[in-house]
Order: sequence, then C-alpha cells, then structure tokens
Amino acid sequence: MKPLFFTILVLICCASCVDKIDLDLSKERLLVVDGMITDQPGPYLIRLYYTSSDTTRSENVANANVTISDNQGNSEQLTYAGNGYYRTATDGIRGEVGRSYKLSFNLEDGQRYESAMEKIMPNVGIDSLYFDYLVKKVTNHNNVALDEPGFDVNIVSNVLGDNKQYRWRWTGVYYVKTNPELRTKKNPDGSVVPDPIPCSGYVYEGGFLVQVAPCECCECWLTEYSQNSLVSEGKFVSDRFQDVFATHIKVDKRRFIEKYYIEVEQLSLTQDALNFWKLIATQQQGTGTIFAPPPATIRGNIQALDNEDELVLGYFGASSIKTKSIFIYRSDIEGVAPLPEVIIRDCRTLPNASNVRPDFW
Amino acid sequence: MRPKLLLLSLFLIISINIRAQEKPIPKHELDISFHKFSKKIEDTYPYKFYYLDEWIDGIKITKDYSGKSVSEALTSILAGNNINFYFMYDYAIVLMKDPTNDILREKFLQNIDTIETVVIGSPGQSSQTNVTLKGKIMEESSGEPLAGATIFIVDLNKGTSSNTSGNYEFNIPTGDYIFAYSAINQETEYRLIKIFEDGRLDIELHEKPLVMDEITVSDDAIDENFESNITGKTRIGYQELQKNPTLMGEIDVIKSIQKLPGVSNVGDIGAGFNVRGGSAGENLILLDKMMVFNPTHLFGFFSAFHPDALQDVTLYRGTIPAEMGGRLSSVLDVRQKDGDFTNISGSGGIGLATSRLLLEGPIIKDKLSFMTGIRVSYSDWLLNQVKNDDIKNSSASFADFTGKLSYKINQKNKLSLSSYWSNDKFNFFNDTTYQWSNKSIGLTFDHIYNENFFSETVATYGKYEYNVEETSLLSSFNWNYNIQFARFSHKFILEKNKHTFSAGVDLTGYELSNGEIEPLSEESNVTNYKLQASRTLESAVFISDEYRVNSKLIITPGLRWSHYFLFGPQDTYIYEDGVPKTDLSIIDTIQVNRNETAATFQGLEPRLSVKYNLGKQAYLKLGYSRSWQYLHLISNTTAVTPTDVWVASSKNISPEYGDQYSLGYFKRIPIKNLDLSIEGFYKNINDIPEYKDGADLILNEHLETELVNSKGRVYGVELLAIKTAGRLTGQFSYTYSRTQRKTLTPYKDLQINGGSFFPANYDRPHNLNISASYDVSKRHVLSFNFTYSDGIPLTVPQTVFTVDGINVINYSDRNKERIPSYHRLDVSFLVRTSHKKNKKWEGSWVFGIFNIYGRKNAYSVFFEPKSNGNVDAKRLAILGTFFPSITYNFKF
Repeated sequence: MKPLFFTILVLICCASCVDKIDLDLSKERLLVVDGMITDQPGPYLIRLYYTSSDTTRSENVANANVTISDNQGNSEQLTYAGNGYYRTATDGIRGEVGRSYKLSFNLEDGQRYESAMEKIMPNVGIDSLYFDYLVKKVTNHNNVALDEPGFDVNIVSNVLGDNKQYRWRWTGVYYVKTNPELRTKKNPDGSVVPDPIPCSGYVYEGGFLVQVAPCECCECWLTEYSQNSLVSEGKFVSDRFQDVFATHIKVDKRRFIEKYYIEVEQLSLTQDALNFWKLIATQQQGTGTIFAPPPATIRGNIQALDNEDELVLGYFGASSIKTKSIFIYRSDIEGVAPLPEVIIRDCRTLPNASNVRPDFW
Repeated sequence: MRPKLLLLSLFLIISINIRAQEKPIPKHELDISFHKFSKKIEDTYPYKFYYLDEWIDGIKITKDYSGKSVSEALTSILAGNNINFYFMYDYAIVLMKDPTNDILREKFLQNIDTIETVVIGSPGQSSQTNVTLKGKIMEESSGEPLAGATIFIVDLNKGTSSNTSGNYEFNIPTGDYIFAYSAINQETEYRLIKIFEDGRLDIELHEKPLVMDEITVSDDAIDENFESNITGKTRIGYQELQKNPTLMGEIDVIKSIQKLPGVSNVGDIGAGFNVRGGSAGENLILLDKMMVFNPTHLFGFFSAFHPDALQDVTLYRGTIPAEMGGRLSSVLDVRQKDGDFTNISGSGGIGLATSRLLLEGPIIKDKLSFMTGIRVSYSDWLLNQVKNDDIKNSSASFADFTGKLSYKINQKNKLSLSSYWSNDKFNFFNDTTYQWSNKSIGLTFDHIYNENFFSETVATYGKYEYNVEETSLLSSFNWNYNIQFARFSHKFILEKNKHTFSAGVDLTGYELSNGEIEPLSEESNVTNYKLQASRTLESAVFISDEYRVNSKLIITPGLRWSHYFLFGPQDTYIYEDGVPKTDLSIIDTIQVNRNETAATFQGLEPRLSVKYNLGKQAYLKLGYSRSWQYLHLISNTTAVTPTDVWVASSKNISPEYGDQYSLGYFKRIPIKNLDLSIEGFYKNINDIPEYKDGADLILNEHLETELVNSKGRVYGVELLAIKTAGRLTGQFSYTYSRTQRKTLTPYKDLQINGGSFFPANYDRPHNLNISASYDVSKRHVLSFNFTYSDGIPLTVPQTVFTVDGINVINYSDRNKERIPSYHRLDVSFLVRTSHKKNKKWEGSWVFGIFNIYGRKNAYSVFFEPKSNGNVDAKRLAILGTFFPSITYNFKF
C-alpha cells in the first residue's frame, strides 16, 4: 500500500503548478507621468517619458514646459534636470495639507496635458512599527521545501481622523563589510598571487600585503526600497490601522551583520489616488489565483487636452508624508544567526550602495 | 458449389423476369434433399437452378409435388426459409435469400457480449426437417430450476417459457437460430444453435449484478432527446451518467452536462458552467425543484449532487418551457429518485478524498418510503501534500446531505418531501476561512384528476449563504452574504385530443442580504457595516400547448408573463445626468418604506417550438424563446467563485432580457444505432450589467457605479452524434460558438474596448468532446473521454511603466488574446466484483486516470513585470499532471 500511496502523493504535489510560457506581446508607445508634491520640503521631481517598443530603454521627454500650480493661484515652473526629470526650486513651492495641486505641461510639439486637481489630505501619522521574527516555509524552484528566516515588519497607525486613505512605502538600509584586499589573480605560470583592489588601500609588495591607505570600499550601506503598492483597506476600519504588513526582511548572509534600519513612510491619498494604487496592488497580488480579477487598464489622472483619445499613463500625486523608523538588531534573530559571507569586491559596486555612513547609523 | 454467378445475376433480376414455360414436376422420391430434388428437375427439363448450398441445408422434400407446377412446388418447399425464387432466360431458376433476417441478426449480435455456438447433430445425417429441442433452465449459483424463464428464438420471432421444473421444449425446422434465455433478475444468455436433429440444451443463468444495472426499466433518455418536441432539451439518465470518467470516480452531474454541445466551462475548476454563451449566472439549477445557487463543491472539483440519489438530469439549453423562467440561458433540472417502496437497501462509495452512503427503503410498504444520503470529504491531506506554501497551509472540506420522503397517498395523489443541505469550508493561509452553504426543503404534490388531467404543486424554501471569516485577533471579522428564497408553483396539465395544455402560476420571493461585515472580537479594528437587504418578488403566469397538428407537425407555443417587484425599505440613489455614475455624482436619495414598491418591471416571454417530421426518422426542429432575468450574478473573476454577489434589479440596474432563435436537423440511422443532429442558434441579450475595469464589488452600497450596461450576442452551431447501443457506445459533440459583449455607455472612460464588441470572459469558439464506453465483458467497462476547447480570452500586457519606483503593467484591450488551448484525455475502468457468491453485497471498483497524457492545461495566464521592464508570462495549471483515482462503490 505504501508505495502506491506515495506515488499518488507525489503526483498531486505537481498537480497545481505555475510555469513560464512564451507569449508574443505587442508594445505601444505611451506617455508616462511620474511624480508628486508633498508637504515635505522640496525639491520635487516629475518624470516624463515614453514607453518604448524596446522595453529596456524608455524614451525621455526633454524640452517640455512643466508647471505645478495650486488652488490659491500659486504656481511654479519646473526646470529640466536631465533623463526626463523636471524639478522644482529648492526653496520653491511646498505642499500644504488642505490645498489642491495640479500639474500641467506642454511638449515641444505644443501638445498640452493636465492632471486632475489633487488635494493633500491630512495624515495622522504612524504610531509605531514592530517586527516579528518568523521562519517561513518556502519552496524553491526544484520543489524542495526550505526554511526562510526573516522579520515581518508591521505598521500601527495613529487614531484615524476623517481620512482613511493611505499608502505606505518603506526604505531599508543595512551595512555590508567587504574584503577587496583579498582579491587574487593567476599568473601566466599558474601561480596564484594576491591582487588587492586599489580602493582597499592595500598593495602587494615583495610577497606581502601592505596597507598604504585607509580602505575606501570595505564598508558600505546598502539601501532597498519597497516594490509593492501597499494601500489601506480603510472602508470598514475604525480607530486605527493595526498590523498593516509592510514587508518581510530575509535574514541572510549579508543583511543583519550588525543591524537593519527600516523607515516607513505613510502617505495620505485622495480617493482617486487610492483607487489608482489599489488597482496596482490588485495587479501585483491578485494574478494567477482563482480569485483573481482579470487585469484592467490602470488609468491615471493625466488628460491630454488636445486629443481626448490619447491614453496617458502614470499619476501626479499630492500627499502628506509622515515617517517612522526602527532598527532590527542581529541579536533579535532567534537561534543561530547565519555567518556573514566573505565578499571580495568593491562594496560600492553592490546595488544601491554608498560608502558614506548615514547620519542615523 | 453451384455456379457462383448467381450473385451477379441479382442485378439482372429486377429488369428481366421472363416466365419460363412452366412444366409439371416429374415423379420424385420423398424425404430427399432439395439438392436431389432440383437435380431431378434439371435432369428432366432444360432448367437450371442457381443457389448457394448453405441456403438449402436441411430442406427436405416431405410431400409429393408430382404434377404440380414448378412455382407452386417451390413456393411450398421454400416457405419459412426466407428464400425467394425467380425465373430467368426461360431456363434459369434463381433462388434468393432475403437479407433482411441476416441484417437483423447481425445487428442483434452487435448488441451482445459474446455468443456461444452449439451444434446439435450434423447436416445431412438425419432426414428430419423438423426437430425438437428440449432443455432445462437453472439458476447458476443455487442450481435451482428457474420457472417462467423466457426462451426466445430471435430469427423466428417465436418464444416459449419454462415450466415449474424449469423445462422447455420447441419444435422447429432444422437450421441455425439465435436463442435468448432470460428470466427475472438474471442476465440474459444467448446461444447460436445449429440444430439438425432432436436434441437437448440445458442453460444456467447468472444472477444480475445489481450495482450497475439496477435501473433495468430501460431509461430511454437518448430516444426521448431525439424525439423531443422542443429544441435543445437533453435528458441524461442515471446509467448514462455512470459511463463518464470523472476526476474522483464519482458521478458528476456538472461535468457530464459539460460534454453536451453548447455547454462549456472556464477551466479545470470553477463553480459554474456556460450554456450557449450565457454566463454562469444565467443558469437555473433545480434539485427536486429546489433552487441551488452553487452546484459544486471545492471550486468545482465535485458536483454538489449525491451520486447515488440521482434519477436523471435534464438540461434545457434551447427553448425553455413556459413553466420555467427567471434565468436567460438554461435550466438544469436534477431529479432524485424515490426511496424503494419494498426493500431496504443501501449504496455507497469510498474514494481517495470523499466517501458517501445512501440508505433507502419503505417506512410503510408500498405507501411511504425514504431515501437519505450523506457525503463527506477528507481532502485536507491532499492539500497538505502540495508544495505550494499557500495551498499547503490551507484546508478544505465539504459535506452534504440529501433526503426524500415519498408518500403514495393513493392511486391519484402523491406527496414528496425533499431536503438538501451542503456545506463547504475553505481555509486560506490559515487566517481567512471561506464557508458557504446551501440549505433547502421542498414539497411536491402530484394529483391526478383523471387520466387526461393532472396537476403538480411545488413549494420550496431555501437559503444560500457564505461567510468569510478572519480570525487574527486585532482585525477579526465575519463577512456574511445570504439569499433566502421561497417559491410556490402550481401547474395543470390537460391532454385533450391533439392538444396537451399546461398552465399555471410561479411565484418566487427573494431576500438578498447584500452583505454584512462585523468584528468578531472587541479588539478588532473592523467596524460593523451592513448593506440594505433587497426583498423582491417574481411572479409569473404561464400557458403552453403542445399541439399535434398532424402526423408530421407538432407545434408547442407558450407564453409566460413575468412581473417583478422590488419592495422597500429601499434607498434608491439618484445620479446626476450627463456624467458617469460615481459615488460623487449622487444628487438625491429616494427612500421607499416597507411594503411599498421601489421598482417594478414586467415582461412577456413568448416561447415556441416546432417539430416537423421529414420522414425516414428525420426531424426539423425550430425554436424561439424570450426570457427575462431579474436577478444578476456579478462577478469580476474568470471563474465563478462562491463569493460572487447576486443583485436584484432596481431603478439603477435594469433586468436582463434575451431572445434565442434555433434551428436543428435531427436524423436517426437505426441500423447503425446512430443519432445525428446539427443545430444552429443565435441569441441576443440586453442590459447585461458588465463590471467596470477594476470594479470593487465587495459590500458596495452603490454597486451600480461599478457596472456598465452592455449587450451581448451569441451565435453558434452544434454537431452531435451518438452511438446509442452496442458494446461500444459513445458520443461525439462539436460546437462552434462566439460570445461577445459591447458596452453601451456614452462615456469614454467606462467603455470597454472603445465601445466595440469584445469576447466575453468565457468565449471559447471551438469545443470538441468525444466520449466512448466499451463493454469489455459483463463485468468490465472501459470508458474514454477526450475534450478540446480553445483557451479562454486573455487581456495581455502592452507596456510596463514605473510610478514611484514600482513597475506597473499597462494592459491591452480586454480579452484581445487567448490562453493556450485546452485538451485532455481521461480513462476509467469499471470492474464489478463477483456477484455470484454473496447476494447481499455488490461491489465495484472504478479506476480512473484524469488527464492521462498530463497536459499542463493553463487555467489562467498571468504576467509579472520584471525590473528590467520586461514582462514574464506565466501559466497556472490546476491539474497539470495525470491524476489517478480509485473508488470502491458498493450496494447492499
């Protein structure tokens, strides 16, 4: 009985599965607007670009006239900062709760575009962040079950006022120590000799590694950003948002050498902005399950004034931002923390790395 | 061998028939063979005989024909042997065996398993022309003689029966015959007997295995469908249902009807089915006349109906009879059997994921009977094995109960009480539990006034509900949605001359809760929120007449007049004119008090069926029907999920109505046991509430703001071939159909695909279904099922853009592409265990393999943006491998 039973189990294990398929997709060239004004000090950046048929290279829009104006008659023209970005002046316009803002621009060819009026809604702020250590059971690509330790970071908001429309984004920073001085090379005769990366401050002289300068690329702080749209499901909530799950931070050989810094920003939204981000959230989470709604076009708040049929993607947002941050320490890991790996490279070449110690560290 | 050219001469017979100068028969001996007799004539006259020796085997000349004419003598001699003769070219006498009997015999032999040949004596050895066959018939297991058994000679259309000691006797001409030996509760035995002298043949009969053949009262559903006076009606009997291989070895009503032409689904799972391009919410599903809102368990893996309790199912997909209404596309009428009025018996099954048991029997013999069945699942272990974290940490279970009391009050009155209860529970990631249930009870009263006048009265009550429960302390809640309904209908049927009239009333009251969410603990941050309930009444009066105009033409006109009321208390929102309906465009609210009417609609629903007999077993059938639907199923998921909402029509949501036109040609080829049909249809549906892109349908007070009024059109053609009898039976069905929608709003933002026709979510143009069942032997049946259909429509990414560092996919027009096509082969093998020894227990095994070549059929295709701006297309296959199952079924 047992072998048969086992066979059946194995079969069922692969019964439900997800795999990649090839599908030929057509591409379209559409204008995208990405940017927002907040109640935090500027400058604010607005990016204008076209999606391109070659998805890896988008086509930036230069030479546009971009203006942000509010409902009190103030406005500011933005200056081009390259790569499709337009920026406000450092001491220029600043968002205020309760006021409404609008983005308008025209392109080189005279086509005019305008966003809807976006009001900065009040923001009650974050009461606290907390984290839970937990070991998730995950399955890798070979269907092998693995343990994945990590921290769930959750948000508790302050007591809500009239506005229950929020979204959250987070930034994580961790410290990485590398050993660029340990690089070696192979001589033509086959012998392996040290070949320290110059920024390590070490040189290989007369058979010895000698430090001649301080290391510039041994200590870095790496930053990671939220990749998900996280919005409030506020319709039936009273009092405050509890246990809003922000992210799961994996404990691995790089993170938690010392500690991990996470900062969560809470952004107040208008109803339209909430809908926009909600659709993105649905697109991100919902796909592929039996409860998934079919995908929908996610319309932003930008109108082409001269051609009402033109679809403009993206959103010009206006938010009040409140932040909260915490450290998670290596000692918070329950059980044995993984040993740091030895990384033999210039730490500045790691993604989003900087060798400047942040003020809060 | 005599000249073989006689076969050739067959062709000449018709044209040339010249009478030879008839000569008298010369003197001849008696008791000589025909061969000798013909030789004598040939020797005397210039005649020549043409025939095959095997035809005249055993023919003896017993009378003296001397002096009589040749034709007179031959007529007498050949009588009863199915041989005719003709004169040709003045000298030739050609004997012709009539092929009718051979064809009949051939056809008969096709339908039986095996036939044993018995030879008694040998040709030419004896001079007898008539012989006597005697024998005794006994029951195989007990050895007891069987009295009253029937012995039938197929070729002679002649029969007799055994006497009290099991003996029988026949006097027949020599020759070969097919004998059928049959008796009550015994399997019929066949013998091919070649008899040339007196002999004896004893026969042992085997008791019938009751499990599979219990309804031997032949269920002529296939015949009935062919002969049906209305188009698009298909009844499937219990035996037919049993022949379909299923995923888990149980009869599955929903899967069975999906094999019919014009019926499709959205994938391996999903609670609904689509009939001729209708949405899943356009099907009325009745179980013993009780409404069932969710006909499946576990998202469609199992049907909600107890397999052993079934009597038959009828699907109306064309013209729905006037007595039924309320849904646009179809009516699925599932009937359960009455409990046995004489003996207590039971049946059941044990499978890998479910088990079931049914008991039935008399409470008062021949007067009152009961039937009760339960089914439970233990499928959690299946889920726990899946190496998908979400599924692994999930659990699923279901149970159902069905019961029926039948009371034959007297010859003219019958009362039955049915009850059905089902419960499903699905736990997602440990925290959220989805639970849904059907509960209903129904009373049916049949009364016969006289042999031409009957009435049927039905009263049912039921509740469908689901709960979504979140248990984590700080955000716990329960979200409940329920529909209560009460239905009363009364129908008279009067048969008079060429007419069958039926008329009556049909009233259904609904209360839709529309949803309520409430916190489950004091710590929970969820507020209580409750939508206003909708109370509605659908009333209808109907009349129809099946009129046999003449022997060729039957027309069935019908009319249903339905009336709909939405009662208060009800708040109706008034939206600003000239702008899309949104929460912000509400300008006023009209409050309607209790017992006042908030909205009312009515509609006439004419129905017409015409059947014209073209002769030679061919019919032309034509149908037209209009239906109104006042209750809408709103779903924005591909498959129907248990948490979809039903909404009532109101001032802001119009009722749907649709017309269907169909024309079909039906042909039967009896000699091949084939029923063929081709049927085309066209449908238009108006006022469909299509969901907007990204609609929020959960607990939405202003649901109309998420909907866009649209219209639909469906057209298609269905081909069906059924092999109805023989060891190999089966059916081939192919459907081509298109289902399209078009939004009718003037507002550009609300238009889907710019206001042009687009494929509905379940549009699958080509659908092919081939199923076959082969009786390997009495106890072994092998069944196959092959399915092909085009993939469901898919909305595909066009570009990826970034907002605030997050990659977002911009999708094309809705349903522009399709997912890969779906096909699958299933096999099942039925083994009936020995039925000889233990009469009290009959068992059978069903071994099944679902998706035998393990095709990874995509249930859905979805997209994930990658950081480099590309998009990965991924396919989700629900049953992407071959899936074996074993079920043991029993009856006692």
